[in-house]
Amino acid sequence: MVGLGLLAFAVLMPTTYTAFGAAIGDILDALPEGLRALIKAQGGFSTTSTGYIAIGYRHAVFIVITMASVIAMSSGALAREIERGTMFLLLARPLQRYYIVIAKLGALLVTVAILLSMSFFGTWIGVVGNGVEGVDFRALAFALLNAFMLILAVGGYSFFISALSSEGGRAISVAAGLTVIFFFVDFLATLWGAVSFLGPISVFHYYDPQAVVEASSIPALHLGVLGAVALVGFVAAGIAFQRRDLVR
Amino acid sequence: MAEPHPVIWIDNVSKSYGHVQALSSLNLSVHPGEIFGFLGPNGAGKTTAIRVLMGFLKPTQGIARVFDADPWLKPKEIKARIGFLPDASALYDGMTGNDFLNYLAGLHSRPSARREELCDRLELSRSDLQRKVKGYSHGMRRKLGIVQSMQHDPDLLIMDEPTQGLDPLTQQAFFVILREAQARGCTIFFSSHVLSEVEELCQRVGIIRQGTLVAVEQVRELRRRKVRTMEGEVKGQLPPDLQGEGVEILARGDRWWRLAIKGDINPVLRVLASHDLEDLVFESPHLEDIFLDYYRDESVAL
Repeated sequence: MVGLGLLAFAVLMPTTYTAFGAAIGDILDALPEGLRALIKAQGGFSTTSTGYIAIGYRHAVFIVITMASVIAMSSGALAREIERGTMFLLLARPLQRYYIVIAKLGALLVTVAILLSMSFFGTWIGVVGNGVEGVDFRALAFALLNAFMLILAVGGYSFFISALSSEGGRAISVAAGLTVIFFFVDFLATLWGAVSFLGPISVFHYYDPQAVVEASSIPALHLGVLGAVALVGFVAAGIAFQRRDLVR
Repeated sequence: MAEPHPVIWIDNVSKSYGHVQALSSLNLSVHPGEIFGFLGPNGAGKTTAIRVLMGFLKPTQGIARVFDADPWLKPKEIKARIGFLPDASALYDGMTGNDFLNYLAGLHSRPSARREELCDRLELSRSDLQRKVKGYSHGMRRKLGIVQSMQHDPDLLIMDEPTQGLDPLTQQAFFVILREAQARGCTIFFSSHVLSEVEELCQRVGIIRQGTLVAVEQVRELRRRKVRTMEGEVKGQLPPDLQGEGVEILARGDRWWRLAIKGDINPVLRVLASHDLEDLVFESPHLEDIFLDYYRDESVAL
């Protein structure tokens, strides 16, 4: 269902590009500064078809759907099983605890890959169906790779929170709260020069699909930072889960 | 002849959560092929002790060994030989019974050789197993839990309150299954707060209260300490000679009485046999009475 939602939303972006036509530049330029900062377009918009479609990858609908999915999956992965008591059944089998963490991580990676593939597929349907010209799919793939790494980074710290918790609901609340804080830190740092130094502490600072499609290259540094956050989160989750007492 | 190594060995194990002391200096050993009952009221520390044995909790102090290995450090090796039933019927509600059993069997190194037999004997039909678990009654959930714990024919069964939710007939069938498992060499460690089921099934019993092991006894010793309450009414005069060793008159009227009898009830029954009875009722012995009995002994010893 979530994948279908992302697919439908991805179809919309090329469709609206066709509908707005040449007026697209004026419409985007007329947006208030706050809204521009939300989609990281404070320095102006790329009015190419590829640049416009990339706005969709920073749109609230895309962010909310992907973040909610990854937080629900990651935060609930371990904590919810402990809360329900099913973790005791799993760990009564001849398994090391880290096996459970790796299995859950594998499921998360596959799910995220499917979600983003659906989004990419939706974009393709929208572009082909509406006859949008000049779309650089390679650049869009790089932008989605950036999205993939952002989602993994959020998944990493959510997993760690889950590994420490015995209540799925609480783990989800903490991870969601942290993600909202990160989002607004990045938003304020983008909007307000006086606090721009705070930007790098947010994972969203390293997610800029507009810039990626404009450069049409892999944002190695940003992917590296997000990858490091993800890795630290997952490893810390594995260690914490291996060492903790399992209590409901 | 040297005694065989215990399957379960707990030496001075304590477990605390912050200021809460869940287990205090627990010492216990369970021998191969034994059915050991772990008896105590709710909240006594039974589940905590079981979780230490399963490697879910790290003891704050002391050593726990299962098959000569530390369950916290070597969980994989130990659990290949264990069947475990947790306290609550925690199952995957979205799965069918069959899928649930297959899923857990797939995570085990041993084949599920006994699944079909167990389902038959616990009356979990094929159609039951094809239904989603969320539609199961409490008893059916417990049966499914028992099957998952025993389907791979483990060498050691650790069960936390296994009879919860089972009807009396299923409970009897389950006890027969456990005795047969014992005959095959399986060691069984199970917790309960029901005195009668421990008495029926076990050779030895560990009694725990407030995280402390009060005693480890042979079941016959438990029976000796058991206090039964008896109420009776006679048609004529009240027998004057009801008192004796282990008999305490709790209350009496002109034709009725209420007694507490510790140990053998036959001397009292022999006295009553010569009288014309209107009514006679035995109450089930209470676990708490046995605890009080042990505490009384401890305070005398001190």
